[in-house]
Amino acid sequence: MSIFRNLFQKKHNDESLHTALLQMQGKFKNFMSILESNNKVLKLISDMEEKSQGDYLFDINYLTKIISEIKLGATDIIDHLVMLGGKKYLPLKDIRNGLFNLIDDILSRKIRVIRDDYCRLFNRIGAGDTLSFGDKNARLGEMASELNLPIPEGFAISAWAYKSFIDKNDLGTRISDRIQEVDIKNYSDLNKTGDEIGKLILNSPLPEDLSDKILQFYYELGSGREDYFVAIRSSALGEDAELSFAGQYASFLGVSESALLDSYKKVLASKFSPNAIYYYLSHNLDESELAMSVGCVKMINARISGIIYTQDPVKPDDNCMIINSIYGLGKHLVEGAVTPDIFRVSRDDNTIISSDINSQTSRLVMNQDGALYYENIPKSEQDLSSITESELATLMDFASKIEDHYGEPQDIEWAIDKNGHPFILQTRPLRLIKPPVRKEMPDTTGFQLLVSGGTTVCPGGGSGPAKHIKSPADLYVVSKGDIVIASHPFPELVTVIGKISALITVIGSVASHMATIAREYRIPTIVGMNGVTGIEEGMAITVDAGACRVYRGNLDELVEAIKPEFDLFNDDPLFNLLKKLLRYLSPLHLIHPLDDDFIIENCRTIHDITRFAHQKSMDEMFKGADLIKRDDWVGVYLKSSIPIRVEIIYIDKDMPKMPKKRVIEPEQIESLPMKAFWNGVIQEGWPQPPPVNSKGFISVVANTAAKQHKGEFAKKSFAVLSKEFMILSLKMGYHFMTYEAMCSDVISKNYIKMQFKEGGASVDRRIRRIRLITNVLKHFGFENSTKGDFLDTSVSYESRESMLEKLRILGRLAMLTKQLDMAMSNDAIANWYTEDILNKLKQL
Amino acid sequence: MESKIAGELMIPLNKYPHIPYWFSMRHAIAELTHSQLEIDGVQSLPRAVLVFDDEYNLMGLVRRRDIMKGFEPENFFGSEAHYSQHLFEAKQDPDLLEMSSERLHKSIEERAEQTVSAIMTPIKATVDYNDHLFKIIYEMNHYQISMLPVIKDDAVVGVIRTVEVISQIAKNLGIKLET
Repeated sequence: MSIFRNLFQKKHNDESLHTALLQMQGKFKNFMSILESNNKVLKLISDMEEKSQGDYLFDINYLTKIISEIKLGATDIIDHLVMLGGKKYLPLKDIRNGLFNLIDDILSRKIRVIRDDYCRLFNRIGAGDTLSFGDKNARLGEMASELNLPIPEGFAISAWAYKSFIDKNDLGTRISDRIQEVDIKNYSDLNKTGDEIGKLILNSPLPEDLSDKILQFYYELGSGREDYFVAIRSSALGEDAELSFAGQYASFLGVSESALLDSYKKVLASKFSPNAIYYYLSHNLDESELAMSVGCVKMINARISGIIYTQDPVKPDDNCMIINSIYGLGKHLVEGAVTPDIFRVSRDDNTIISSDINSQTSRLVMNQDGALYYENIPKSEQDLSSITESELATLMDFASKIEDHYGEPQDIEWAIDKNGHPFILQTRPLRLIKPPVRKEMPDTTGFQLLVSGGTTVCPGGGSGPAKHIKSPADLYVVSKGDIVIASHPFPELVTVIGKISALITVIGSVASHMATIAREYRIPTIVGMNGVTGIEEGMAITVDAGACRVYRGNLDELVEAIKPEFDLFNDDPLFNLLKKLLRYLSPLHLIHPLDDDFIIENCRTIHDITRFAHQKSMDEMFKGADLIKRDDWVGVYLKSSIPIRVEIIYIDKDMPKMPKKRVIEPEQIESLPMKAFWNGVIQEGWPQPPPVNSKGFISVVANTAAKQHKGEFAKKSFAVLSKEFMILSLKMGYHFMTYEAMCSDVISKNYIKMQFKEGGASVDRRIRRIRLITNVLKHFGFENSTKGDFLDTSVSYESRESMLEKLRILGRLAMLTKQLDMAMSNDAIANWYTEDILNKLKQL
Repeated sequence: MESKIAGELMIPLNKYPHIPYWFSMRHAIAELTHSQLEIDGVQSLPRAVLVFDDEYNLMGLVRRRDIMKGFEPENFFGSEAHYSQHLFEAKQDPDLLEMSSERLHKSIEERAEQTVSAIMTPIKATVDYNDHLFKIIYEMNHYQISMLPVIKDDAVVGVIRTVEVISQIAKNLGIKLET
């Protein structure tokens, strides 16, 4: 305030005036910085909102980058607000830091491990236990505890147990340091790092109380027996929830008591397999907080097993479930090592629409010692359906229950034991991809078709040199843009999936873990394409994954034509991540500046912070000028036929030195927005003074509202201007208005904001006037927010010319609504005035 | 006999139409035709609009008659017609009869834009909120007016018209009011 006081003291010398002016211009620069950052942050948030509509493709780098820009902008806003308004705005920094922490946690999928039991039986685990036992374990528990579906008996080892193990052996920092150094693009480095960390884990002892507890649960599960086998599977926190992690962690089948604790550690170590490291580094995850829970269930020696997709992931509109079934244990299937029997079953009436029985020559089984081995299937059975119709019906029933429960499509693993008992082994959300909308296709008659067939896992097209991969060891040679042709979709392929153009496998089904990952990364992928092995190494080829065709040469025209629109459904993990982030960015809780709860403490999102800072910075600018006594003003005055004394400070100009030059004509206004606004004011003009003979009339103040505002009436109006910017505080009778406008040649910077409050008439009439103004402004594209007799209205993103025209209209409206509240005795008359004013404004 | 005070008989100010002095006759007509007054369940159009200045001081009122005067023929022709004194002559005025409807319409539009301050009737008297019926009757008779502003604590809080006075007298006489 002292800046303003210094600036407007009458007895000043030129030097002090100049200094004060500079100080004020500095203050104004802070204000402008707030506006600019505000604008930038709001644009970024709206870009994210647009992406959240599902029409645009984005990746994790987009999210990381945009969040970092939003954070910079928000920090800038608060810093400048503190410079402008002082320490009272410092608490905003704490709120900002709190929000940043939440946002960072979401972005890194950071999950705080909570203290809990080391172990718990599955039938005592439910949906609320994801933070202790991971999503996969919690869902399995839910199958039993809430849906009464059959699951294998078992228990889960918590994330807290993992943390205790890591802490006890002081492994956290050592692992993090090693991970920091890894070159994500180098498979051998990933492999080496994974090995080193794996050894670190395997060589560290479990805390005694933990190993005791695991064994205690194991014995209780076996009712004292020590000769039974369990399956041990990962359930990392965050696994299956936001990102699928499908198949990235190890599972062990046929585990006996003697191997139990080591197997547990091996599952923990698999968190650092090369493919797992690649996966979470490529998704910007923080490995240190991605704790691992482990499930431990009685081994089901499955006669048959498989996967159910409750919808076709690539043709969701087909309204059918897909059931994949193989002989033996399901590990064989999810690793993509076999082509299963595939049944498409109508979701309406459970009828089988199609069945694709594939010859199966071997099956994975467990012997009496818990060892897994492949045994040949008798020839007479190889070409028969692995599953009966009644078994299909039972599984369909389970699947419908599960999908209904979660309200979204599911990817379910199941098994049926040798006694015919079905079990649900796992369920997770199914990622769906809408088929691409095919644009005009190029004429393919001239293209040389090399191979066709197989099944689409993820549609789209890609071209590049063919690269045959037989095992993970070959992955070293994969380069950016290659088309990988693999024998089967093994999990290690994830380490190259970020850089390849397309993926083709000779065997495999849409049910493999790799298929889930391919859809997640949106890599055009075909599985089960037999003839592909004949393609020459290094040959330039083009893949049309949607049509299951491979052509010779780089057919960029085709690739472009079949590029998917990526109108992915809402269950896309990145999409969910974006929506979670938006919760702390986008909602606006501070609506009306006059509300009691328009306070720092109620800033709950970044949007709230921008709203609060914008309003308060305006207030600070206005307050500064408002406190100056009329006689102290040394800015310029606007000479006008209208009896409103508008006092002007130019922020981009020196003050006139001579008092005579302190009065300017409207034509001399150099600020574009102010000039446009004032032209509107003059166009409507000010009412003539009342007739002289009115002196004899009785003069009494009409009502208490007006009496209360007697003092306000004398308040001055002022403007702070630059060439393209205006803030204007206008007192007109008993109501006052503040205007803020930017009219530049950059459309994205332009906006007008007006706040209109109070009046001399009774509240109901003032509210009717606000309603009238709102209705009028709506016609001119303004967005309005009202509360009682307070209006907050704005318009943005329009050309300079359009903004100037709107300002002229606001100027006219200011005149046309002056003390109009007085006349608003009922809704009918208010409507009449609305029409009347609209008609007037439509005339030039 | 029941004796009511002005405050009990008046129409509260917030129910009565009022406009600033610079509003036009057109505005006053809109107010008179769009403002339904509901008093004791009876709806009626107001016969006048109160006029205030920009500091919300009461200046006068515009009655239907004032508006009629605003459209007097003399104003069409820009000369003194003395209409009220030469009623017969005006009816026979050949110029008026021959005036085109277009010109008439245009003239009405133009006249309608004059401010109400030019045609309003000044406030000749007021009554206090606590004044009794007889004081009201006295003031109305004395000043030959049919509406009085009611003042309380130096502020206008409502208006009282002859119709409220008559209604009160009727009640005192036991005459049942039609609703």
